[in-house]
Amino acid sequence: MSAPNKPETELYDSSVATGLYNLVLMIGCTGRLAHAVIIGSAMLVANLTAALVNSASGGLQPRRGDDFIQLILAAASVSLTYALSTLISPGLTNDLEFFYLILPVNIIGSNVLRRTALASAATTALVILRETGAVFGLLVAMAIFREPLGYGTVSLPGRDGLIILLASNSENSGIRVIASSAGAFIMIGYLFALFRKIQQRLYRGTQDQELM
Amino acid sequence: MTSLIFLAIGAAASFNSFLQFGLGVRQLLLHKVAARQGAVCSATALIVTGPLIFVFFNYVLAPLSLGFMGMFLLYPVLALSCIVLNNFVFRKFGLKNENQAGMAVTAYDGLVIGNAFFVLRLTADLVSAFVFSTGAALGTMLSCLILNAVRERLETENVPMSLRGFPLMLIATGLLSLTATYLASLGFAAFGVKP
Repeated sequence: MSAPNKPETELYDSSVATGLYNLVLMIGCTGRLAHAVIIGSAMLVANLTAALVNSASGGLQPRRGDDFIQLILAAASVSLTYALSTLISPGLTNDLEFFYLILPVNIIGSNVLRRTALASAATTALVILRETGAVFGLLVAMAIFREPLGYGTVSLPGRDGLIILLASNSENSGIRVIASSAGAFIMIGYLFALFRKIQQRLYRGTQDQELM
Repeated sequence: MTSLIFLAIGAAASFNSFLQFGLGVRQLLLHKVAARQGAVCSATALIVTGPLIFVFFNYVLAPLSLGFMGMFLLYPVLALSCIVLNNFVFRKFGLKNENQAGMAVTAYDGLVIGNAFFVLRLTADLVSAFVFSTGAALGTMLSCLILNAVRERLETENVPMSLRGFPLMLIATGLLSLTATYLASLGFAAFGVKP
């Protein structure tokens, strides 16, 4: 038994509050490309698992208490993802345990479970892949920028830890502050400002065209 | 006693989840009064949930050999604690509102989770857990006060449009994080302690 799909506008959420939950991951996990890849993948898997189970069991959940069920679902999906990740790369997963604990907050705060509760499995998967895929891309893009500047290396996740693909020859390469969370705050602040500047320029260009 | 003092200072300055990882950063966007309420509520939640999680994990889960469920239970237990605090304690002091209800479900945007993580990793007894949580709460409130004052000042200054509001607050938070870490390391070095 499937419920009618919600209109597409109601399935996506681009509010500021949703974006803020990803800010923690952008600050903490993008110091190294390997960390961004692991946490981005974990976020994708956990979101997908929780949303698919939630939409499949939507008709079985009680009306009151669905908030609590979603909370448990988010925590359970992240725990399973953590266990799976430990099998693949135990050392790196242990280092990133803190960010795995933040992932349920990400799932609940983005309200994705409530938005896709009555959607079909295919629609749910599409919504999750588009939203979480975009965040994954952003994490990787930031990490590609931060790690070479901060550490002078480029790394990927491996079974026994980091696989350093490129490394600088000198010992003191890298500006450590860029790799730290303080550097991430400053960098994201300037990126926001740049994005606003570009938006203002585009909006002014559109206005000029309408006046002509 | 000295070690407890250093633990409190370290918690306030270096391990402040708000500064280090941006947890609870949504409070920066709220209106002044709501931001102040948010700071008080999240600080209270930190002080209460830190020792609570220490007791739950070390004296309830561990004896039953259920420590492996830590990853699964941490967020639900903390979220429930924050919701109970919001509905039964903060309401009596007139601090309960829609913003606080939303933030309680997310454990104050992960701030309480960050504190609980460090309590479980860095403290060995209940007193240390309480001191650490109190230090983190005071550090969070101090950083909220400083950043609110920065925001009020920036509203009156001639700031470029693209930098106004959230971007400049992020830059200010990053600079404050750098300062706090540097001051903490200076403090530890002055007392001959290697953190």
